[in-house]
Amino acid sequence: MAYVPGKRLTRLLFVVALYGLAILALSWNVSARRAREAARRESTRAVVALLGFADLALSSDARWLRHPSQTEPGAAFADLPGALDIDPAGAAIGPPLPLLERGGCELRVVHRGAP
Amino acid sequence: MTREPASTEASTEEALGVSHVFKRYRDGDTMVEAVSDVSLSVPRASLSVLVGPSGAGKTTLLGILGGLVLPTRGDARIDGRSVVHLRDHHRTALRRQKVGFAFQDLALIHGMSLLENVLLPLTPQGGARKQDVARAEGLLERFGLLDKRDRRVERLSGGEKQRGAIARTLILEPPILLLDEPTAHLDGENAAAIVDALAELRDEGTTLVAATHDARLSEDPRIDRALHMADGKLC
Amino acid sequence: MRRTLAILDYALGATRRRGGRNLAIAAGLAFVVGLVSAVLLLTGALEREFALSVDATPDLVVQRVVGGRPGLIEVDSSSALSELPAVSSVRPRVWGYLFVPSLEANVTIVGATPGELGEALSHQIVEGRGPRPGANQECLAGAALAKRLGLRPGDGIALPVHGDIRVLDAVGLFHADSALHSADVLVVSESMARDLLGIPQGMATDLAIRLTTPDEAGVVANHLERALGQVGQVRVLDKRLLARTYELTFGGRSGLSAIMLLPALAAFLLLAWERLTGLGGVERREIGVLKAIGWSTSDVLLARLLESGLVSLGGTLFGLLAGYVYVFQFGAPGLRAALLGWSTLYPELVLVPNADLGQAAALLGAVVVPFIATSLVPAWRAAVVDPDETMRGAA
Repeated sequence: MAYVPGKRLTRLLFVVALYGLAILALSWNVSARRAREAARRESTRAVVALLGFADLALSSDARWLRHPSQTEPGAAFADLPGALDIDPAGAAIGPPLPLLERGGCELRVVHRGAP
Repeated sequence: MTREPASTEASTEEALGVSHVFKRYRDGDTMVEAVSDVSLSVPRASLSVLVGPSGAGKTTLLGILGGLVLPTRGDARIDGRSVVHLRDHHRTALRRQKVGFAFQDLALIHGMSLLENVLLPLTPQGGARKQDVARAEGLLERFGLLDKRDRRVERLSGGEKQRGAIARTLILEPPILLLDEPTAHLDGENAAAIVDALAELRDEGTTLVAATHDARLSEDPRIDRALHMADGKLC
Repeated sequence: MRRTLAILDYALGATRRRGGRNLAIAAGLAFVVGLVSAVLLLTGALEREFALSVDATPDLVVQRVVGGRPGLIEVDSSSALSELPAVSSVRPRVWGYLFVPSLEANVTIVGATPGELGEALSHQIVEGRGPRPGANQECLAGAALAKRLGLRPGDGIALPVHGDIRVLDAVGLFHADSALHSADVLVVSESMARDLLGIPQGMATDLAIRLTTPDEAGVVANHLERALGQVGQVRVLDKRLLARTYELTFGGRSGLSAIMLLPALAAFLLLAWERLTGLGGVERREIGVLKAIGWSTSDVLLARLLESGLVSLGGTLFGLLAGYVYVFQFGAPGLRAALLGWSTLYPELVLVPNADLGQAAALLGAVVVPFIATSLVPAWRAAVVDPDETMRGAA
């Protein structure tokens, strides 16, 4: 590999250009996501107004509950990973399924829609 | 950067000089006096050798002569200018203009090609241009290394590395050249080639000082002056 | 300029010569920065999604507390509340959870009146159609639920209730756009919700209240508690308090994730510190050589600065980009469970980045600057002493 002055600089320029392209692509992606968000703003708010929940569909306290308003005010360690959940009872690994089935409600899908 | 002709040099004929220099090192718990009260004046366009056993302080004295090592006490002059009290970057600038070093320890940098090593001193001035590459190739040719120009340094033989290091110091065309054991570990043919090159450089007007304990160099008839050193003193 | 470029060229060569070490450091930086930025990006995006719709939610929610747990509240009490001057509307809501063992998840059943449905359906929110007024068995299903069950618009859902089977028609599926809100819901008519959840007529899960002046929520909450009887028997939830709870939950979780990252971070920093400050003999010698062939201290330092700058900037930028791709293109697998909760019906995340260029630049600076400084100090120490001594030290 013969030494040519400036060859390494050219390669660096290439890498810098790659990074530049990646950053450009990223900022394009950001603005596309923001534009899409603006477009769905009204419909998202319509859904939120319909459901009336002030939170996201993520479990935020006990393992299976997603609404903070359902938290028992006095429950300790409600959000500690691995801690016992409060309602329904469970843990990070979860209670045995037979136990869960007692209070559960098994649903079944009836496919009718066009394939 | 062109070399100034020897004849038009100013007031003094001295290229390098030291007066009453000492250099102490801390080596573990003890202080070692590597150079002890040495005074010396090296005339222009001369080829001098420092002869002595290893540990006599030859390398350290060369370092002081070239402004690479600051003496603990005493004065060192390059071209009549005292370097002891110069700020680091002024000293570096002066050294870059005037002095080339070919030290055993200051070998070529591994991982780079021979040509890259030879061009390395040009980097702080903006790097190698086309004519510099041509000049470097000329130097390599002079030392019989042109066919090794793209070889990695670690794959060169000891003699090739030695010659390569001398070629590297010459890329800046220094008027003064300091060498440490330039012929060590070389076979007769390689050693003779180096001595020839040194004499030739002297004839072109370069001031050379070489430290050696190799008789092939110190007893060559083309040597202007042989200085003997022992225990940090000239004798 | 020429000098800088020439030294840059040298630094590139040096970076390559110490390629293994530099690659390891860049990769370590990329990993740590990627993880940290992924946590921050994900948290930021969730907060943004929450903020997007927060003003569409009720200002206050009133629950009755029975035995310390949320209980049902009388629908009648809403009339007393709507007479309060600050209250603009009161809506008794019928909703709750239905636990489905095979999904190991709660499905959120929401009862909606035809009026509420009609208003919501005037926007494009579902695939399929909305339930017809009076069609009691028709429902809308959330996207995650539909995906999990393989539902298509028009499919039926059979639910065993009180020893009987109710069959619902999922005539519409919520768009994935709103998945962060609707993933696990089943919107049915109010009477069907009562039937499924076992909520008797005249009772509601809670009361959703809108205020004329939302800023006075705190004051109104006190009035409401008094209007409904003894304090302690009702709970009034302020939307802003819920928002705060949410922020704390996610802030706490991202903090927790960060703490779990700490050992890895510390190990990496120690390694990098050791590598950077313990200037090897080879490097010392190299600095000695450079000084001897006429490089000044600043030339040597510039080369070092460029080398560590290239390595750290390259690694950090790569980490940032990878963190972004990991979160927004791949939905942060692994991290998601830790940050979003141990839910099983995960919404497909339609996330929008909340961070701006300034924050990215701040993170970049916070990593790169100390990194360069750390690597510069030993080189500076080696470069200012006599080259000869530098090499003696190395020998």
